[in-house]
Amino acid sequence: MNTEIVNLLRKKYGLDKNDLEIAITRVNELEEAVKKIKGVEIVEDLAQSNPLKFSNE
Amino acid sequence: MSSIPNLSISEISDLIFKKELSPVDLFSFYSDRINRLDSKINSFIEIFDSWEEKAKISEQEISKGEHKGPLHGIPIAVKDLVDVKSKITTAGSKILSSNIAKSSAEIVNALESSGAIIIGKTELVEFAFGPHGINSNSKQTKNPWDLNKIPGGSSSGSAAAVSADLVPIAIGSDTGGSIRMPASFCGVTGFKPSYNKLSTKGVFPLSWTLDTVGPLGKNTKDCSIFVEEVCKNQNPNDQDPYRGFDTSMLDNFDSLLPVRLRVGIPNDDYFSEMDDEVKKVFNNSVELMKSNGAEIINVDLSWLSIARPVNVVITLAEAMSVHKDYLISNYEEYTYEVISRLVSGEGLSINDYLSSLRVMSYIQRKMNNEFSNFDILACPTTPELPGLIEEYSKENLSASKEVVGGRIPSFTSIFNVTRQPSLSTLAGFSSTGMPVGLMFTGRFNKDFGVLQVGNWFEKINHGNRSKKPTIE
Repeated sequence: MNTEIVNLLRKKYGLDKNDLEIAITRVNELEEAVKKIKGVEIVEDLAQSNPLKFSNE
Repeated sequence: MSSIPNLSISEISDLIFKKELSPVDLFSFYSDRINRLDSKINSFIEIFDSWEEKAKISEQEISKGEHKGPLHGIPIAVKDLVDVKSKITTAGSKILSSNIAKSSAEIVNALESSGAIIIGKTELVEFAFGPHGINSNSKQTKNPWDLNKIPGGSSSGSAAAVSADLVPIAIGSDTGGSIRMPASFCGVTGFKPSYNKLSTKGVFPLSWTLDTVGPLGKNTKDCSIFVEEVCKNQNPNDQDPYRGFDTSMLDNFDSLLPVRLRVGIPNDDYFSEMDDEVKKVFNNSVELMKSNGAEIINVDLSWLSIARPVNVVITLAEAMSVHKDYLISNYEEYTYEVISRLVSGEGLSINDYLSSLRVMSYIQRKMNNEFSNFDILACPTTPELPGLIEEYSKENLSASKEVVGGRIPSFTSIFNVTRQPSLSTLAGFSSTGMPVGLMFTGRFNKDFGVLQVGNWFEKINHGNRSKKPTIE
């Protein structure tokens, strides 16, 4: 777990114990999500994958 | 004449056109039900005083032969993150309790141009940020099928109001399933159009990359009428132009079966992870479609599981941006269920966000290719049944090491990332009598095809559609 983030949440938002525990669960979920996304191998040409231009548009 | 709750919007409209029913009759019927019953489910935030007057004006227009179309005189409720001129838009939050809208949202203008009457605002999860339908600022909307259960969210009030026959149709919004999840839990039909099909101008944003608006109604045909009328009347500069919509053609689809419809059914590990009760109802639906002429094609979409984390990261990153000012000055006024989730976005970097957008683009292209093997994708709307409201108390949430109810958007959130049109309709019931939804998803911008399939399924599944919640 990212303790830096947890400390930031505690200080910046003054979350109480219950809110902080819920937030920690969410932070863990988010860290897992980012790990999965960064694990995706996109083999296509980068020029065709401009993140600001969606294929459906 | 059947009683009003048993009539579809097209049937009500026919009766209005023939002057056998009037908008004032609808006002009397629905306002009486709201007055008697809404205190049991808490679906509305506000009912507008102007409703009766607008009903009288509609009646006069129709009696003079100025019939505007199938929504003329039809009452419509609005999720309270959609602006209605001179009315407060709270987005379910104390922070916006005095936020009076200077103008109406584009979707409201379009519906009013079609003759619909906007009757009031419905409850929602604070800032539309959650799938359960919990809002600790409110009296708490309840599921009409079991008042101890969650209604689903975030369009909780819109779904509950339609389910309890307090209004024939309502506006919802959907970023990760917020139309389809409450539609499933409350046993109604909810349609998320393709991204940008209906304008979100004047709708409080959650995530501009994923947000959509759409209807929650009693059936697919009613939702189709809603979409057609908005497409006709909305400002074409704001979104994709009107195309491919003619609700009168909805039933023609039946004559194409059984030769044309290929239904893709995901049979991989990700999509197979669901409660036994949901699986049973889903399998029954698949058998029903098969016995009515559809070709069932099993597909492995395990790669698509990456869309859920992409949805989570994009939503949180953009929500943090939308809320940055409120988070500095008003963070104590957020509900526990939203603040604790929202601030977890502090851990995201620009690189995380851009990686997600890039993967989103990749998913869209790959999904487009998958659709060469089938015409429509069918899966359960949610992998689990609605839980008890009490499970979502602050104490219970903080005591859990896992995200409570975190699986609910597992399937719906994928199709915000792919930006495809997606519809939830009633499939059947659990052993405890709770509704279970079936979700149909089609190719991007082929919204009408999804509505045709939904309409067809509702016809062949008519046996399950006669049940109503009993809150009287």
